[in-house]
Amino acid sequence: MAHAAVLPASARRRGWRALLRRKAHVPLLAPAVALSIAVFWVCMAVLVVMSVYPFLAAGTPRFTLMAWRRFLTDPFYWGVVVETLKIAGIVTVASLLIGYPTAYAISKIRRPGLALAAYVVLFAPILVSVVVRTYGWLLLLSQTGAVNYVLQTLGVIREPLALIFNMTGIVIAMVHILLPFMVFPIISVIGQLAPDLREAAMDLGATRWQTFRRVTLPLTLPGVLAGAQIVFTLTISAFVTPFLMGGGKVQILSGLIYRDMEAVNLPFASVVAVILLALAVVILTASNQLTRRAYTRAEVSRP
Amino acid sequence: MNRRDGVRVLLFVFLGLVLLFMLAPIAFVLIYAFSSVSYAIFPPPGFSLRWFVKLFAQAPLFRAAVNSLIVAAVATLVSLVAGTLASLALVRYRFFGREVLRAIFLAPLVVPRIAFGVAMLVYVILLRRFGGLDSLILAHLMVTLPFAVSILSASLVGADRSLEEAAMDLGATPLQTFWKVTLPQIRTGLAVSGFFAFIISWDQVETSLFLVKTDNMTLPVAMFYYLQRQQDPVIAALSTFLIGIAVIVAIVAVLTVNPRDLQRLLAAGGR
Repeated sequence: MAHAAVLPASARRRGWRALLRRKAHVPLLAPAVALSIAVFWVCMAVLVVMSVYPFLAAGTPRFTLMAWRRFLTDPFYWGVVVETLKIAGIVTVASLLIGYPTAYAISKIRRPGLALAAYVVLFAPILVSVVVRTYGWLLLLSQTGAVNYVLQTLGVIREPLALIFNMTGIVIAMVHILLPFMVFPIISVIGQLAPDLREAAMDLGATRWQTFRRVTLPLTLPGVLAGAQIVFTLTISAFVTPFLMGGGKVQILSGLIYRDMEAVNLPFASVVAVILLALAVVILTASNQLTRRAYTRAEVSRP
Repeated sequence: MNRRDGVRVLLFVFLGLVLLFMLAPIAFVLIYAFSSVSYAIFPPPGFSLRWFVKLFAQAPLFRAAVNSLIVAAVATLVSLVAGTLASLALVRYRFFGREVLRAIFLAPLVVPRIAFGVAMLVYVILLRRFGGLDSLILAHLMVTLPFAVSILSASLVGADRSLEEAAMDLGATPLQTFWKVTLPQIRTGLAVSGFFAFIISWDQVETSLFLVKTDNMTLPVAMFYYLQRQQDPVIAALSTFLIGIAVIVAIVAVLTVNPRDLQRLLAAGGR
């Protein structure tokens, strides 16, 4: 700051203002960064520490890997991991099979009013609590519910189907809750498709199916991957819907966490939470790579 | 009708079925709110208003609704203010560590909410703040802030920077420029992210679940516990009000927001 002393006072003041303007991002970021670090990041550290150093328990706490050993050596818990991934896989594939044609159909609606109505019906359920929507499925799918009533009246089945408190119920309700998250990224890539590409393929003699398989599908793949990523990660971490629809009969990681919290077993709940977190991070990192490559290859911008 | 039209018709029939699927559980909640019996039998043997009568006797549910409103309002407000400031820094300034900071903000989106709920409980016990609304507000903020930052950043990228420069050249102070030029341009972004933040907080079960006692119970957690204990249509009766509010909100959103803006910003929030 030696040369600052020889500047006139006015120039020094301007220097201050310039510095403030150049460094204005620091005060702008301060509140959000402080909140994020003081709550979220400290929490994450506390969670990991809790899993190896049960400091809230009675007596003098000490370092122990007991909770970790219990999870990693018991095949039951590995089974829960597999079950969680299996449900997420089924929900993702089902959402894709329903979501892709849905997105395609919405993009083909010519009247803007109708397209808007389709959007509203598809996305408005997000405004209704997940608890309420799950309750709706419990009502619809129960032994004496409307679905079984209709199927029995039509003579399709004689005995009511078990549609709740099992995997079927979880999958139906989860697909319902996550479908908008699958449809949305697909609609936005379909919107970016140049129609002349499809026309060119047709002009060159490709059938509708060939055009779809060779042109439309590869170009919309990024949206598919983005949607699949969201649905898969939201399913492995979902709690309310799998818990209520599973009725305690289907064991998944989030339910395991809830059970251990009810039993006030904080170290073990922390271990399961860290494992669930690790799964989510690994899956997101891997699928981010895939999605990014697909977006680059299809030359469409991310929504 | 040729084959091309056939495919088209099939596609739209499929779409119609999907839209029915989306509405079905909500419609059935509304039907059972007026059922005369407590169990889920179809068709309901009769209709009555008894579940509404029982609902109005449930003081804890009303208290939980008030708590949820307070928590969601504060979380939304803080997310909007802190999120706008942070987005301004992230979008308008080039500085060392910008991407790291962005990652620090957005990381909570990756973390399963129930895992964060466990961590938050341990932290809240350490701080001796268990059982208050403050712990809930902080927990919800961690989920709503990243949404606000990503939506508002997308909104700021779309704002015209030359207008800000023109205002400054004409002698406006940075604060005046922000209020008179920048803020009006990110109006939609603010509305959408505020809306998202409110909905996310209002419907938050996983992050609240372990933090609530009787005094700071929130509505979705109260409904979750109620359904676990007994499945009578009191929750359905309550839901008719919640669904009614949702319908009004949807209508207002459709009427006031430009659909193209909405789509772009929703995409930023969904990522």
